[in-house]
Amino acid sequence: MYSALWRVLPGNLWVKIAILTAAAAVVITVLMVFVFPLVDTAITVREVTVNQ
Amino acid sequence: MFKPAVLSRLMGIVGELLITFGAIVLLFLAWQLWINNAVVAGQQKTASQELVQEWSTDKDKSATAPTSEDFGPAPAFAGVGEGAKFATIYIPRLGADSTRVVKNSVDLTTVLNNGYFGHYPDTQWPGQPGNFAVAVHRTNWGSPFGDAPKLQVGDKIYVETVDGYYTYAFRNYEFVLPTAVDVLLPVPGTNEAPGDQSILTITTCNPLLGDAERMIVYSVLESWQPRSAGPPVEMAKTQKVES
Repeated sequence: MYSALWRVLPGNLWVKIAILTAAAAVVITVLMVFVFPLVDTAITVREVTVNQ
Repeated sequence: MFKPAVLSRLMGIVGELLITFGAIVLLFLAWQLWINNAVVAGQQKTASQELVQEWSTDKDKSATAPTSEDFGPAPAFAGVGEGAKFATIYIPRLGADSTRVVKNSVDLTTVLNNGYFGHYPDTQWPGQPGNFAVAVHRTNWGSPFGDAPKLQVGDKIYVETVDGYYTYAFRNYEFVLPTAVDVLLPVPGTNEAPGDQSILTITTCNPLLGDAERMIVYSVLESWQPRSAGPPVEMAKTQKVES
């Protein structure tokens, strides 16, 4: 999968590294800003209140 | 059914997907334990400063009351609608950056998960005889109350509202089951009338990183000073006022 991605990327070694770094930054930002808060709300419910 | 070459390529893709998923899980843990923690703590700092700014009047910027001055019994806070911000809580023992905003609701996703203290709407207000009860996260979500077990008897807990400053003194801990709603009574644990005593009750989770029990932190209202007298000396240190 990743080796195929590496082959289809244009440019020389440094261009490929630059593209992948930028893509990783975008993916990580999207995860942290949009995905993780939703996952957190869904799976980490830690109650701190008393109720019946 | 598959040729070995196809099978090994398929397994390679599956393996790469699993490694990617593992990396995302680790990233999520880092986000939950540190990154979101720092982000929420920062938001709380800004929110509390904005609130104090909103309340401040020109004349109280320089004033700091002599600590000996007695302003008599605290007036009861008038109350706010459900979900509104109405106070800040500062606990010097938990660090100079421990100031958090209090909202009138104990909703998990909109209030507590954003690092706020949540006031139980059915309990009393600061200064009112009875029980000013709030809930707060202990770790994560800004870790507003992580060092709570470091509190020592008599430690000050400052509550600021638009009216002024309420100084509570830490009294004791109690560890209860999540169903122990009697900690929210005007006199926690009993059906007695509160007289003129005001209690601050903070409920949080126990054990650390779990919620099988609740840790309850009780404090007693010690003194009060109006906004015109300026903040208590210890609180003033955390509020930088532009001259």
